[in-house]
Amino acid sequence: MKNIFKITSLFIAFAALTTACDDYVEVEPIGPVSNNYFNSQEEYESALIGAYDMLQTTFWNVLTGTIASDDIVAGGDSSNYDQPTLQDVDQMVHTQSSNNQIRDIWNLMYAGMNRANYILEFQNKLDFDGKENIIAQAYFLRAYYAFELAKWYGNIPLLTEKRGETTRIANKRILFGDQYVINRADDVAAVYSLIEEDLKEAIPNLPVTQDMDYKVTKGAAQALLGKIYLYHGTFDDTKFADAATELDAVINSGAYSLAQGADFQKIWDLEGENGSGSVFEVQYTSVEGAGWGCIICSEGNYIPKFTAPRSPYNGDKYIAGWGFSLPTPMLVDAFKDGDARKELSFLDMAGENYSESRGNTGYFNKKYLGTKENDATRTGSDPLNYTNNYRAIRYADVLLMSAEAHAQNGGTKAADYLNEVRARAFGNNSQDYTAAEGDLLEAIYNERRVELSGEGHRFFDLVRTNRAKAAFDTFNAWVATQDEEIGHMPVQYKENKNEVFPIPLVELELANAVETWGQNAGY
Amino acid sequence: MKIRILLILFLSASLSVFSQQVQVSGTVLSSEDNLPIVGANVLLKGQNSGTSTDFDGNYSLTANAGDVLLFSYIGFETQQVVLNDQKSIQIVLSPNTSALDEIVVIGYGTQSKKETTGAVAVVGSEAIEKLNPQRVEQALQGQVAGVNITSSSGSPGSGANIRIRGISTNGDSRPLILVDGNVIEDLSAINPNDIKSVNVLKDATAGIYGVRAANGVILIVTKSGRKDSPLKFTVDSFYGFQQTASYLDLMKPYDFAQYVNDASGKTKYLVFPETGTDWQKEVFETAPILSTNVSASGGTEKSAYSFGVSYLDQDGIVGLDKSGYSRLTSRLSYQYDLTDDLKLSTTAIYTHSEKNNLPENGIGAVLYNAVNLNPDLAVYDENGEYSLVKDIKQIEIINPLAQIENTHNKSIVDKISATFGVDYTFLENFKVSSKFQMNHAVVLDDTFLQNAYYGPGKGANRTTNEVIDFGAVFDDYTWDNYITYTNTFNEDHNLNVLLGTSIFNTEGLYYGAIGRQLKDGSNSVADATIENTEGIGSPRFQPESIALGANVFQSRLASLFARFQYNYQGKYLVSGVVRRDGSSKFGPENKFGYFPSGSIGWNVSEEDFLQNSSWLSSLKLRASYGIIGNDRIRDFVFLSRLNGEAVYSSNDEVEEADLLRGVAEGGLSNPEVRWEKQKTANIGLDAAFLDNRINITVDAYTKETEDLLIAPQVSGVLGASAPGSSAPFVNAGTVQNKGLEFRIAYADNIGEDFKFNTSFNISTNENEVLFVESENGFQQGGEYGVGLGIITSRMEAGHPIGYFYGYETDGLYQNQAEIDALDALAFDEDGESIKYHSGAEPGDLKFVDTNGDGKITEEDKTNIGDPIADMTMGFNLGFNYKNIDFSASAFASLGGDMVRDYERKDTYANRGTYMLDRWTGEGTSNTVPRATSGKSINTDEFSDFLVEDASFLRIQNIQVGYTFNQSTIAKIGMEKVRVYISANNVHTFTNYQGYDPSASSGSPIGSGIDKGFYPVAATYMLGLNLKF
Repeated sequence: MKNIFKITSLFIAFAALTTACDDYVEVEPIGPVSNNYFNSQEEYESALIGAYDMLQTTFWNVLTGTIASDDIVAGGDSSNYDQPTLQDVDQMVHTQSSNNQIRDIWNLMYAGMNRANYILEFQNKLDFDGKENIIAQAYFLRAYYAFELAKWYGNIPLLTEKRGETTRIANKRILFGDQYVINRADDVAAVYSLIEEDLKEAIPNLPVTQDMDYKVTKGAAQALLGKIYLYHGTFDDTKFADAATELDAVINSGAYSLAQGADFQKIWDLEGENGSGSVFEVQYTSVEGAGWGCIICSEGNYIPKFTAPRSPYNGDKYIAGWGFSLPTPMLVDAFKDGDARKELSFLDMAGENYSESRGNTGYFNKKYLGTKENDATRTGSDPLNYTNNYRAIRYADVLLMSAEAHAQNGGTKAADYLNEVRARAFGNNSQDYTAAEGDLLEAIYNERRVELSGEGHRFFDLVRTNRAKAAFDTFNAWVATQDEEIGHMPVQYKENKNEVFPIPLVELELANAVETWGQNAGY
Repeated sequence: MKIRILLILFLSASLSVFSQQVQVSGTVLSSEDNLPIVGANVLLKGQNSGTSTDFDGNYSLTANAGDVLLFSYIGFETQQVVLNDQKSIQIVLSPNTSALDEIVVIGYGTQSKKETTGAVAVVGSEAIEKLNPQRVEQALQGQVAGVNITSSSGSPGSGANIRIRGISTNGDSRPLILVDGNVIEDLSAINPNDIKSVNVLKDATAGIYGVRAANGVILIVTKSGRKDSPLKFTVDSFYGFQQTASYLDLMKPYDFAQYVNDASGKTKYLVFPETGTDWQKEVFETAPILSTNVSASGGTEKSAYSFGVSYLDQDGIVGLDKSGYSRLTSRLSYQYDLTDDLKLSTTAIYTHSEKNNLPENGIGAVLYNAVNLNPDLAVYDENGEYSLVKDIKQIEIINPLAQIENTHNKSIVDKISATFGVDYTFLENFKVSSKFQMNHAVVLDDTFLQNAYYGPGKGANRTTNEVIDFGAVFDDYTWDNYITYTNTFNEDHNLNVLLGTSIFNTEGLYYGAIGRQLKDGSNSVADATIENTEGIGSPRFQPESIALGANVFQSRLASLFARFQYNYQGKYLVSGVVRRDGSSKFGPENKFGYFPSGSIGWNVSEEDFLQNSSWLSSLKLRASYGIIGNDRIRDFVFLSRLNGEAVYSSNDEVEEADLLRGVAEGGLSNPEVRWEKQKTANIGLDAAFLDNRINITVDAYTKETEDLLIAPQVSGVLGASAPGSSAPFVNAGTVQNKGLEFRIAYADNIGEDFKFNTSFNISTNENEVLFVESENGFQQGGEYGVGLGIITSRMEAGHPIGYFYGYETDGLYQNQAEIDALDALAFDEDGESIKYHSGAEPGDLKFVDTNGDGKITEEDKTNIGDPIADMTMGFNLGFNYKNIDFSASAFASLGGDMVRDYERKDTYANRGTYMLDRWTGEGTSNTVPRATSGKSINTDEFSDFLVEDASFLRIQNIQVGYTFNQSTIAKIGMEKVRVYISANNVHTFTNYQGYDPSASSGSPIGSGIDKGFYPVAATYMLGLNLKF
């Protein structure tokens, strides 16, 4: 009997242990989970930082976009096919299987949209003073990422929803499963319309100035909206007037001005960051180390090292680097004598000791070169993180975009804005536009080429103004005159194909969308 | 026990009435040490009565003349004595050599090999000692059929990958390893000399470990003392040296210069250098190795103890001390019987190890640089400084000797592993056990990055030095509680039932700091501490990331298990296990899983018709089937946490305060994620012939792993590419492994003086992915080359896991006409004329148009090999002649492929001598393409030209020993003195061109890409074994 008691109590103990066991494996993670967040203003602000963070990955967009143009060749190691995708983009021979950067841009810009959407999805969870400002910044960021995607891939897939009478980009993250049901917009103009709505909603809630330099201002949102209208104008010329309105609002706000004189000389330096002529900048810093394992995790800019002359270059101011992104002599020659921008735009390698890159031109893009000063204070072992902010929207760009929008409708302000940009470059009004110079629009286009050289706008400007084929024909004619040894390759740009890049094939497959989305024409 | 003795006394008393009784007594001794054996059984054959020896090894019982006495003890051969009229019988038992009496550890208990129904292999301490391994894994290679060991590096102290019966998951394929019941993931902490036996559970009977058993279970038992034995010491020591086992065949300066001219198409060398540097010779060194192990053991009436201290000190064959390793271990094992019913046991292992690290296995590694550096470069420049690398533009290739000198990287590990157990026996048949096991480890990684200049533009150049001190603390514990019920009914029915619970908790904490620029401009490693740097140094984790849990991890398991084992007369065996595991890795809906398995066995030789067979000693047939699980994925994948990378800049540029830290989603979640399940079936037989002289074990298995836990690529629109994010884990795949294992061992004595033993094992493994749920039908991994974006390996239905996906080649294009002819027939979809093979020139590899669409495109890529060996073999031979002993072992692996990817292919980078056979004009070669620099299909595409057969046969160990006569050494108080010479990894026969065909990176998709593996060293040793 006693034994039975012993055995029974053992089994009871065992059963008790079992129940205890089940609780034992309930381990709570440290830190919040995504569906239980946004419980305070600080949490909204934290999520917004996450959405801003993705801007730092756009160095790939800038670098790849720059190389895609007729003004910049890929460069890199001369004895290797260094960075194959970039070389392919340079020659416009990339395919839907050329992954690296083309796929990175696709993935990262969607990731950026998702981070902005995370805030928008939960925007109604809590009310507090100043929430409108945060939500407006999130709309801007979503618009920025979506516009990047539209520039690269055309009519991208988007989740949309009806709000009132308006079709909008859905205020929710694209979650697992959505990739199979999401559809491509009808055309790229439809994408522009969707983005315009986001910015229109953001603008009223953004202040003209923010408490911190990095934050999106009203002017930034208006400038981006104006820019998108300008792109939209290619398909619907009524949008040029809208563009002019938005861009003029930036100009008339009085919040921005072109840096002049000594300040102008410094606009590409650390000192010139977030200056009077900066409407929107992507902020980079070198106080956190970066590694090859995850270059996009860096808070620094990779372009300054990527585009610096290959060693043994040992200049006074700039570091040596990997030698990518070389300006062509044609671009350099497009600057007239007396144009102060030429000196600010190019590092002339004549007489310098350095290793020539593939397709050496003798010039490097000075705007985003890493400095030795920065290199000495940089954190981390790998030289991947430089402070150089990307000047995403400059006031000079706003003036020229506005000039272009006005010129499209024969507006009188066009020449004034063009002249304002020129006057700063030459230090006087000697270069003011006159009818003798020819077509005003053409003059503005040429001004964009020199003012904004090496900033990643050129290729997309050529495409939206239907001048790409002609520009690459000129480039190819120049290549034919070059010594084959140098390694310049003709660009195989095809119309109705190369205006946009292919959606990476693997991305079509992963969304089970080879049929439903279809590939961009020609790929 | 008391009851049984009473019963026996009663029976003997009653029997004495009827027959002639003999009172017999004596002592049972061990042949090993001539000491009494406590608790040996003395039974009357066929009568189910008997006694056991007391603590002096004495026994006494009453029997009838003509009875047969059976003397047995676990681990010793049973002896029979027919009782005539002896009053006293002295018995010396020898340790058994018969495999069937071996004791097998099966998880929460032991069994004799004869009673086991699973596929279990045991490696004993003798076999381990013979191999002189520095790590336990090295002792398993070639010893156990179905267990394959590969190393990702041969550098001292490096780990090895253990694979039991193939690769059954694309995630973590490591088996569960328990040392005295304690989970030990890193075997480097264990001194192989301390091991008594290694038991490998290969089939579904491992299911007693449920969710962690899918990759097999390795149970290691450490040495313990024996009760009632005097204090004994053993000393095992060896000293030796190590050398590289192979050099790559690289071009000499003269040939190299010719090659550079050919590749560049220019006259880079006008004069061909005759002399230069053999960088491999410069880098490889002869490195000393020293090991000493002292242990003491003994016991009293109620206790047994064993204590050991060991020290291993080993330099690396690359960089000597710069890749050196030292390990100090001390071990204690103690058992104490509080009462006859209540027994305590405890073990503790402390390990301190220090390992210096050089960059190895890949781009930037010392060996990678030695292989690629141009041979016409001198080691030193005219100023006697290490020469700078200027010709090779690749930023990572630097002078390897300078690199060795400037590298300061040390890992220090302090680890304590301990177990504490109580066994309480009650009601005669019940035993309740409670065992607690814990590990505590502190790992410190100290790095000093000193200022250095290696040549223009080199990535390793530094102008600001940096001190990195990172640490981690790992803690885990396991607490097992179980009841065992053992009984025999009606003499024939033997039953053993186990019921238990187990909880497991593992957690870790990471910390550390980084400091920049030593004070006073110092660049000396002697000054390199964080405190001695300018500024304050920055912590490894910011408070914001600590709040998000970035610096800690924790996971738990809670399990219930039950097992019954039944046999009828030892003939018919049946066993069943069910385990219920709860894991914190899964969401509320899927936390718990049930893992049942069953096995049966038939000891055919116990049947009457075979019982007295003269040739068959034993024969057992076995079969098992079960479902076991796997939860080896990262924590909390069922939750969407906000631990993504979310740092932006407020742009004040100066200090840490510049960084704005926010939140973003981390890895994408899948609330549905559940156990990975493995259905495994095994049939086998164990047989022994000719008085156990020949032993055979045969097994055939099939394992199907379902619901594979994989993190497949997902559509980029989901945002998984954001920094700190990743694809969700899903259960989406099936992998099958099938194989046969065969082992034969033959041991015999020829005359008095000559004893020998030999064994051979062979295993086959066929791996096939049956299903992958992914929109594009495959998972991929592995990378070829540098920055080419070429992914080498795939997991795809119908192929082995991680097969190489690339272009098949068919010779070389011999002339332009051949290429033109192909171009003439090639058109794109729009009917426009295109190149048949874009980029092809005469002398280039001819890719095969596998899909027959008339052009070479990505779609022509196909299966061009896989890294999984089809067959592995182990061979062991040993003999003793008088005082001399000899042993040798070899291991072979057939049918695995490896990708030759240790060549940087820069114009000035050296290449293998196979390039001497290159194409230099029509008809000169149809196998090795022309020399190229710049973009080329030969170097920038992944083709079977780069895939080599990595089959090999390795002589693992040869050892010759001499044991002094006992009579001679007894005078100096010694019991055993043996000296030996031994050589490990003596030679490898292979056609593979790289350093080490046995190396592997270990990750299931992407293994077998050779970026210059640090080879396993050949080691030559002189050793001494003492017992006193």
